[in-house]
Amino acid sequence: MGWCSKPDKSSKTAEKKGGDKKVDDPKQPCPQDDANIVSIAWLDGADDKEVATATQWVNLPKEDKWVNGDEIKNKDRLGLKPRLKVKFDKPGSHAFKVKLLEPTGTPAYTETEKGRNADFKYTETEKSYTTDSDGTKIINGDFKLVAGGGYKFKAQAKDSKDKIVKTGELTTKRLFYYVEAKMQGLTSVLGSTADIDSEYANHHMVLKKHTALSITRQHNIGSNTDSGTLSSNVDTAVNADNTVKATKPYLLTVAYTDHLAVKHADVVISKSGVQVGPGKAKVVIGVTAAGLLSPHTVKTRYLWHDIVPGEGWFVEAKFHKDGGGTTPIPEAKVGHKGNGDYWNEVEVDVTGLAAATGRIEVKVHVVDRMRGGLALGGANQTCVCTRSWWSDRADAKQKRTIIHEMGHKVGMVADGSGDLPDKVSTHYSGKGHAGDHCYEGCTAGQANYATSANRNASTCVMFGSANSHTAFCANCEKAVKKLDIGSGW
Amino acid sequence: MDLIPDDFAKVPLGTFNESACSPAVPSGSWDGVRIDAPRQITLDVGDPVMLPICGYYLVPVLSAMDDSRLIVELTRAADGKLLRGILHEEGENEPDEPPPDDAPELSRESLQGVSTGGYFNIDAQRYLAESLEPDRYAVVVIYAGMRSNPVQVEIIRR
Repeated sequence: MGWCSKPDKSSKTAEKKGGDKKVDDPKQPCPQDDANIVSIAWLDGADDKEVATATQWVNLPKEDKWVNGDEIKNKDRLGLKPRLKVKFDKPGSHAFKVKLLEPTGTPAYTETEKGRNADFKYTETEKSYTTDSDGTKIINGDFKLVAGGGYKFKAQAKDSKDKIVKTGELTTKRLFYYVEAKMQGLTSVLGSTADIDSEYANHHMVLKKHTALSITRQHNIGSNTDSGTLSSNVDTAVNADNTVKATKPYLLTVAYTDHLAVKHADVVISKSGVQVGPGKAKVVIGVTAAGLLSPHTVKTRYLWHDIVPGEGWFVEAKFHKDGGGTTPIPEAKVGHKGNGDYWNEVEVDVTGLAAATGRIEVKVHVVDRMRGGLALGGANQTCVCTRSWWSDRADAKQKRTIIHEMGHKVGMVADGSGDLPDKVSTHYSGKGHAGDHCYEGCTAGQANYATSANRNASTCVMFGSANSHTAFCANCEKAVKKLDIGSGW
Repeated sequence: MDLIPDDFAKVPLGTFNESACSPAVPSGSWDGVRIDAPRQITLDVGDPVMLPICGYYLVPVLSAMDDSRLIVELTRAADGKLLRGILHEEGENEPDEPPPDDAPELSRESLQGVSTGGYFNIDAQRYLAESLEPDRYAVVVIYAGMRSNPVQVEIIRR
């Protein structure tokens, strides 16, 4: 065990000769006494291959399939429990102790975070070992790191003479794959995803992109049926590509669509006290409707047109004569007005009606809202639109949407529940935007964040409406670094 | 759960278009709110309570802009208690993409004399703080300051 025990007493021969200095001396040399610990190091792919500093991909399991020959060259770099090797300078069984030093880098997990998620706790206890007969020891699976990224770990070993050796730094990171699924025929798909990769890399999440897949065109994703079709198309494309499929469950999909517009059907607009008949002026009626979502604001809406081929805005038109009687108005007599594609008025030619006074009523379809992105049915699926409000969507907006939607998939904005880090200080939920978002830059405590003033004031990519920011704010980035994505999707 | 008439069981609730149970709209120059609901709802053991209301409104747009709350009001026959809830649909988590700042907006002046109308198919229970007990209820919907016709609904538990 490295220590030599002192005999209880000197031998009789020694006593006759006046004592045995070696036995009586409290510091007795031991046959193994001059064995010293010389190193502790992280193993790197073989029992005899050590590495001073390395990256540990903590979210991925220790399986051959995740060794990609690029960032990950061997299984030792996978998982939460890296292997260690301790060496003494002499063969034999030598006692020593090992512990992980408190990590530096990313701020430590709080006690509440550790209480929620066992993988937010590293192994803090010191453990005792004895070398094998060759004077070395491989420690496998005894020391756990943490699920978050950017934590810099060192292990320390101490021999029985309190000689201390340490490893170099092992830095934790997370890695996941993503694949773009592009609808055929799109003309304004995001050109480069480098900024997306870079933003996540800033928070110790490395994104690996597969070659893009091609999926069937859908001109609009507006209903649950549309979303279901898209989700199914993405699944089919992923499952047909063995390289992509093999990276499940650490795979996110980003589908590029045309519009993500929501139709409000059968809206009625009406104007009373109008005069109709030969020679009468056209009747112009402003297009308004209540929003389909809370707070159901009534405001200007734009007619539904040129979003889905074959779908128009007109449903029917009628004239209700004061005192009774209703006359249908043919579609050909009803036109639209507005700037560009923003058709916010209808114009009714009433000259074909008999002279009278009454009410014109027009039933139309309008755009309720357009979305920048969407989470689809599959747990790993997101989509981003390449067009909105009848125009190509700028790359910056597409990037922002992808970072935002991926943010949701990795667990943002953390609300302090389940396996998540503590609640982000600027987190909000609901209040005009469904889901968990961040109001950094806006005033705290508002009942409704869905205003243009808030959108302009917001400074985080995780704000609930499409702003101009493509980075996590200082509050959110702390949580992003701590997130546990070890289960994948 | 059985509904009488059972057409109400086929209407997707939380939708805002014309449905098979949308009420007949009065002809002529009319503003107001019209609703319809099943006259009897029979719940089986374990059934969550649901109260479908299908409605239509045509109201002055300026009034609706000033107060866009759609209020469901029920009066319980047994004790006369008034139950109120406000329409609130959150939707999915989706970053909205507002129109550009220069998209044309209508002025209030241009909307004088204009009415806005639409349909709704909702589950009133979703907006009430308390669960509806078996009883008879008088139901009205209030929107833009206009009260709908009342409808009578009886909820029975089997």
